[in-house]
Amino acid sequence: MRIQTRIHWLLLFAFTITICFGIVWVLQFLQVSTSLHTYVIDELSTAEEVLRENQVSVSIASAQEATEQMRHSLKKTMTVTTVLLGAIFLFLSLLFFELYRSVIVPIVRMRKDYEIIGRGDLSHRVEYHSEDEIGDLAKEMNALTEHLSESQQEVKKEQQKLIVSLQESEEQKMFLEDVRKAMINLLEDIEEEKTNAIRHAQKSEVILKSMDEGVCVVDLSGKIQFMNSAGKTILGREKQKVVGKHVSRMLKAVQGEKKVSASKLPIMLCMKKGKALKGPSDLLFTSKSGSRVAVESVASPLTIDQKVEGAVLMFRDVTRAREVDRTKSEFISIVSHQLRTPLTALRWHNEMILAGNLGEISEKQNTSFKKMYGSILRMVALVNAMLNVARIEAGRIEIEPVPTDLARVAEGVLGKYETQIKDKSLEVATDIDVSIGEINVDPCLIEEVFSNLVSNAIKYSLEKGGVSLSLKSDGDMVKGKISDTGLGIPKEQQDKVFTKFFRGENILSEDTDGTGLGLYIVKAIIESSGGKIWFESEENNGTTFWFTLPKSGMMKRSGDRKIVPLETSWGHSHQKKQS
Amino acid sequence: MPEQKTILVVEDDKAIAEVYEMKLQFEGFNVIIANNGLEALSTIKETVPDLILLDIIMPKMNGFDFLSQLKKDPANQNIKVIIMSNLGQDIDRKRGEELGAVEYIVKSDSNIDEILEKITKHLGG
Repeated sequence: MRIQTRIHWLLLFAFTITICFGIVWVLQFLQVSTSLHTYVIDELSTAEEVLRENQVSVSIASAQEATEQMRHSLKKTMTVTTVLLGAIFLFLSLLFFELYRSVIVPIVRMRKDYEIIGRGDLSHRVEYHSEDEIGDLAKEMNALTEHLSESQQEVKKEQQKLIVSLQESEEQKMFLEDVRKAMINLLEDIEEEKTNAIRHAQKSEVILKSMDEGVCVVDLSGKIQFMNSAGKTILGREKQKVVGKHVSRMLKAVQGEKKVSASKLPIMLCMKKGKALKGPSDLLFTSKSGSRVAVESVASPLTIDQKVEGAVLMFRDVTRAREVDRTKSEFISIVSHQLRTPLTALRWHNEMILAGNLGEISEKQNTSFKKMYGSILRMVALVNAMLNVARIEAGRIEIEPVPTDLARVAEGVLGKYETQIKDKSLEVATDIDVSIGEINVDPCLIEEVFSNLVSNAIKYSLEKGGVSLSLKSDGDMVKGKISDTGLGIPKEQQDKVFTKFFRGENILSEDTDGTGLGLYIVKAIIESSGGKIWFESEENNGTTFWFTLPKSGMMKRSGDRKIVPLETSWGHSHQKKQS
Repeated sequence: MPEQKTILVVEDDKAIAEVYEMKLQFEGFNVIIANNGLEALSTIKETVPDLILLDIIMPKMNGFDFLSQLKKDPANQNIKVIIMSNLGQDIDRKRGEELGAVEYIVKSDSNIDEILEKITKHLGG
């Protein structure tokens, strides 16, 4: 049972006892005083009667008075006692009230406060400021709470710190996890790279092995570090260990009949010069068995981080190719000689007859011989054109660029065909940009281009037609245009114009002249110079050819043959003859 | 009448040799024909020509060999040699030039009058 309740009960009990006792006491007192009074009065009355019978005259008044006094004194005693009891009651009440006010109430309040604190609100304080023990207790308790609060704050701070450090360690953990993952990825990448590198190396090895070209790698001192099987085959050293041996022992070479020392070989020279070197075209390697192998070779320094660390030589056995080349060359030579010799005899005999050196001939004979002569010249032109084609295709046309005035070449070509232009009463218009000036081209080749295009324009023009030639500057190119108002090229044949032996169907009936090789040659010349050629044509409405040539000119190429200039059977020779 | 000039034609092709002969005689030259280099060398021992028209491809001795033999003898230094060949390659032209020929003509590409002009030019000069 709670103290408060106990005190309540105790208080109630005390009150009840006091009140009961008081009531009993008062009733007892009243009874006693009344009984006494009655007794006294009775006794007195009895006494009076006795006396009267005894004739004793006695007055009871004084006795009554004494009783009254006694009663009065009893009353007085009772009052004092009652007051005393009331005072005791009051005192007790006050005592209890004080006890209640100063102990019970604060305890109850404090209990509530502690309940709040107990629930966790450590900022809560007991609002009790009394200078007594309870007040002290409250103060102590407040101090305790304060201390608790501080401790809790500290604990919280520590906790916070702990949380922060926990977070940090969590972050660190995550970071470490990331690092771990990154490391794993890196390792995987490295593994992959390694696999790739191995595969790459294997691939390179397979490529090197499967190459037809010989590949030889040397270090700075000239020691062979690698040679592929093709290289060994070319040198006849399939069964020999070449790696680690010096290049002078494995790559024996001659040029002409002279031995080439190892230090003069491109593979060694290129390291000194620090640039790729092409082996001389007459370089022959001597195989292990002593046979000579014609090779085409290129040596390049192996530069790693701008430092030459060795060299690689690529070489190809061209013995067979050279033989084929020689055969081809011989064939061209034979064709040129064997065909030209009878043609020469035919031509000259014909010329003598036509010139009247062998006596007078009739008009009919003259016409016939002229036709024959035309055919002979056409055959000469055909042989020359075929030779040109063969040379172009063999890539052995010599290109000798010199500063050339294209305008002069063009005008020269037009001059060459003056007679034909007059014969057909053609109107020739030229539009030449003189600012083009001189360009580094091979004049023979350029003349060939103009000759073919101009002669075609004239040949396929109708009487009184028009031929125009223009040369313009077009950026870093020169653009040439040659057009006629002639027969044109049938649409369905236009895609074949630049093919070998092309002849327009519409011109065959008009003209049996021509080789069908001119435009093929022109295209080959233009394109090998870095230019372009194209045309527009409409049947019976003329043709326009355009070509471009870079202003930078042609690249020099050494070859053993020059192109045979176009010698129009119906042009040049007739003209000369007539002059 | 001016002194008749002698031209030695070294040519194995009969049809061509005939044209030379006819045309040159028609133009008033004294013409000697040799069928190859060897023949030509022996001809020169008897008659020194003013000019030689020299073919290249011939049996027994070709034109180049003949020319180098000819030029070995200082007495023959002044004989003008025109190479008349159907070999049109630069390498041949160059060789002819090196051996001392004054002209290199591709036969099939030239008409007979042009050749005559050149002969006259070299003989006159």
